[in-house]
Amino acid sequence: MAVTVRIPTPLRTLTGGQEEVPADGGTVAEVIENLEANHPGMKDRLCDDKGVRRFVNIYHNDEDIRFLDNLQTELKEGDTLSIVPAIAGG
Amino acid sequence: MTGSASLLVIGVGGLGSPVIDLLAASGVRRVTVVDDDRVEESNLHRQTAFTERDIGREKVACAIERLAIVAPEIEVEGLLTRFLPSNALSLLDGHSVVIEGADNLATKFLAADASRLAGLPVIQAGAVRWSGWAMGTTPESACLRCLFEDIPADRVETCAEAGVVGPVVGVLGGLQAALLARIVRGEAVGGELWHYEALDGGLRQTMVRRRRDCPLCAGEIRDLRPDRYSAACAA
Repeated sequence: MAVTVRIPTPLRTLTGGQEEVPADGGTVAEVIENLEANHPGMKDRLCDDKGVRRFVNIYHNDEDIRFLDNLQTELKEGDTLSIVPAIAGG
Repeated sequence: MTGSASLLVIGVGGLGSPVIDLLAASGVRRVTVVDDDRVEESNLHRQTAFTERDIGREKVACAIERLAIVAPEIEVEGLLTRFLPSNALSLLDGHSVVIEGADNLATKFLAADASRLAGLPVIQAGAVRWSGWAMGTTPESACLRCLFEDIPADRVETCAEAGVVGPVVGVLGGLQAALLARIVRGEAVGGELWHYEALDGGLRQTMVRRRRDCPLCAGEIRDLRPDRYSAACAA
């Protein structure tokens, strides 16, 4: 399943500056594994041993995956995942 | 337009500056500005309430002068202090709405918690480099803890460390001012979250829903225990 992942500015050091990257996977967890394979370090920025880090949000299209099936949320071809980390500055 | 709202602005930095500039005719009658900082030269590219002649001056004094120019109908008070667990509720007292533009997550969570305990709507935002977010919350809506569950111990860059681009805080501060005007008009903005990515021109809106296990929405947070805000709180 090919999906598009929107990469927030703080994580673009891992994607060579790309704002969006393609990824494969039938679930959010599989996409994160695929991201890690192509952009090493990404999984650690998104997940800890309990799942998605508490200060990171992942949106499946426009819905927070915490209100879906979290990492097991199923994806369709062409879906978009958006990563929204806590951003502190002001 | 002379309004009736009484606004507390936490922090007059990159976000607070455009808020100050856009308060005219917003429906706000009175503003209290809280910040303990002074203007530095490195602030000027994004903190539009200040000019070179303000370098070294207290930000709250500059904000009072700025408001007298752009919105002379609004009563304004400046408090040279930080927004801390020990003074948060007393600072909120007497206000009807809060705008938070602090530069660290500890103060953002403190503002979220204190506003909820005080029963006030709070409009929050954060920015770094080329992106950021702004969110409106009311006592009945999702809150910052529904969005970001807790204060990360590390990994979160602040604008002091990573820098922030002037137009980014300009857009997000403008969104905060717009959310304020909508709250004053009685619109339901609670849970409305705006994401802004300047480089690809993206402005998206999503709705944050209450998490069932959010300790603030569940009423488990009943005080502002200082250890809950582990990083140093700055205005």
